[in-house]
Amino acid sequence: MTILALLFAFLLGLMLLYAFHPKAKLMELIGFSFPIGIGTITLLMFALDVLGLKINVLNTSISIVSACIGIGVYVFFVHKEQLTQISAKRFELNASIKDLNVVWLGCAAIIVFVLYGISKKSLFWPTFATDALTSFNLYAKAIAREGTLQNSLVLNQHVGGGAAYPPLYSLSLAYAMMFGFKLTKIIPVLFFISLTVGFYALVKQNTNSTNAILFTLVMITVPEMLAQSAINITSVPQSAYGALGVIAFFTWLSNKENGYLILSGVLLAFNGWIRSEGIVFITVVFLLLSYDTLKTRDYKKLAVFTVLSIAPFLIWQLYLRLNHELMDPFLQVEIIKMPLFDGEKLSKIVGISKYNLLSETYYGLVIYGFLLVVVLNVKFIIKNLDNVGLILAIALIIVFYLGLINQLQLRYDSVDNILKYSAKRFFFGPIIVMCFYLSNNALMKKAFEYIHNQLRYPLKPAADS
Amino acid sequence: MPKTKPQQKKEAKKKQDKSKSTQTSALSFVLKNAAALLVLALVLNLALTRPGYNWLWNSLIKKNLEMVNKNASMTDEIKMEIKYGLFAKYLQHIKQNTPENAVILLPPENVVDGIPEKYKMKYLKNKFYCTYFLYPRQIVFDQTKDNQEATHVAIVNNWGYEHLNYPVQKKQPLAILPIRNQN
Repeated sequence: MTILALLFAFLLGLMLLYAFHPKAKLMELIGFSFPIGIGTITLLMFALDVLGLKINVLNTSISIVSACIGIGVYVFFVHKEQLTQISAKRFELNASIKDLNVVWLGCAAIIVFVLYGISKKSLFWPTFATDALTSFNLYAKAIAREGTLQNSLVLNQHVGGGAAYPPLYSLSLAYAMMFGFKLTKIIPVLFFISLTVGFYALVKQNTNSTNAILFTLVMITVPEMLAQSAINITSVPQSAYGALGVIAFFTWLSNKENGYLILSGVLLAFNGWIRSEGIVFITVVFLLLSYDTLKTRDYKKLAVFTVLSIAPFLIWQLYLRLNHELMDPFLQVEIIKMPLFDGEKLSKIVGISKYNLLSETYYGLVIYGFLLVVVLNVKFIIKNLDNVGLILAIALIIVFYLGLINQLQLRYDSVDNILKYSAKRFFFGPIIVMCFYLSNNALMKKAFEYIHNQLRYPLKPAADS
Repeated sequence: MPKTKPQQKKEAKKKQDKSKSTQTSALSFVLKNAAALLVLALVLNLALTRPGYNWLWNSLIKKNLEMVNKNASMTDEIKMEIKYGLFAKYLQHIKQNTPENAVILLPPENVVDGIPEKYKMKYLKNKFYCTYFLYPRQIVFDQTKDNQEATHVAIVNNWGYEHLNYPVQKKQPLAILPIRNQN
């Protein structure tokens, strides 16, 4: 039963991904199937609840199977020709094997060991983290047992503020519980593995396998992010959705394959369906796409992307509004709509955020590497506008986050506490995107093109110099 | 058509050259990869001198793996006790000794404050923590304020006996008892 639940999630994600991105590579299918599948399942569970049906094994299974059949029919009729091309050749397996070298194997071995270690730790300990215990996991227990979001814990206010978070995480934990998982930490484990594979797949799409594996290693060994991936909270999954959504967007910008733009929209949609702050990532990509649309005048693409990426966020805000009497007590913050210009508060936010960002114990050397590589690339940035959009996206995500903190009015906590204990988690997303920049800038691309070619096995020695 | 001697010689030389070139390329491939592996090992070793990466590798991954492998048979109850001490043990006891529809009266803050910190009983003051351990049982802190009528009392530090409608001969500092005598 438990395995079946995971297979359901994986299969639904796989089919959906194939439906909108039929040219997806094997690693993309592996990396994105689970996050897209589980995200879609939580949308189905939410729809059941809104329609007044119980969220239970039977109803959830029926809705998943119905969705799979619907997508299957669509794929069969729309992508019929491509279906016949599913083979080793289509996935370029042979080429991938020839791409392997000792750096790839070494890095891959370390990545596998790190993933094994962190997954084992995660699955060994029951849920401990305060937010998980008092909010997400507790809320999930009640959803799984009572079959509704508006359960006894919400009615009696016996669950923490996480009940007002967009429900992707709590619903996915409830899904695991309903299908018999005693411990729900399989969910964060699968999210982190998916982040690793998905990141590798997208970087490889932009560079080569040697570059991709090395910077995947850099990304997964961001100390605080790896540590937080083993506890049952929303930060790492949201960063994974948000950052991979941004990276998929830049992949689309470089190759103009529409599948990547829809992938970006879907990932960003789920990023707003897991934490409301995901709106930061959606806004940044929306601004960049709008700028691109000014040149291409393809307004339909912009409209589709915008509706797709923001819909779940808006649905949840509407749900909170419609049920405000019940849900308001769970809201931990209020956003002040008028811009605040309190110099003291702003300098405190910037100061502590700078301290956090430069902390090696939180983010390793990523931020230093990023700044150094930007400086080294100055020539390419000025001359060819190399990755200017990407640098701008990283800067905007950070600035928008700081702006968001500035506008927050906290009900039960202080800005100081948020900055000291929670704000370090806000930067996982931009840190992942920085790792992408590290791999994708002109200098690094050139260097790794050379390294990769040098380390390749000489299949045709005479022509391979 | 049979090949002439010079032609045969030329082909043999070509074959020899090709094999030589393959050997050189293979050697160069091995050498380059060995050098790359050396550089990678050096970079990784350098990274481990930095505090964040050192902590990640030695504590987060290696030490945790050792600990997990050593305690593979540890039950979830014991793991919870490691983290939440007597609080976890006591709430697990309550869970095992009450029906799922029980409503449990928990002690007021001042009673919990009287218990030494090391027992980690402070979590008894937090309704979310208590609910996490006891759900689907319900909890109440104050019979006068909460609308629900308690079915059980969580006896803590000898508090709670006054809520029972029957006398208890052998009083224990920690217990879970039904409010009404069920005999």
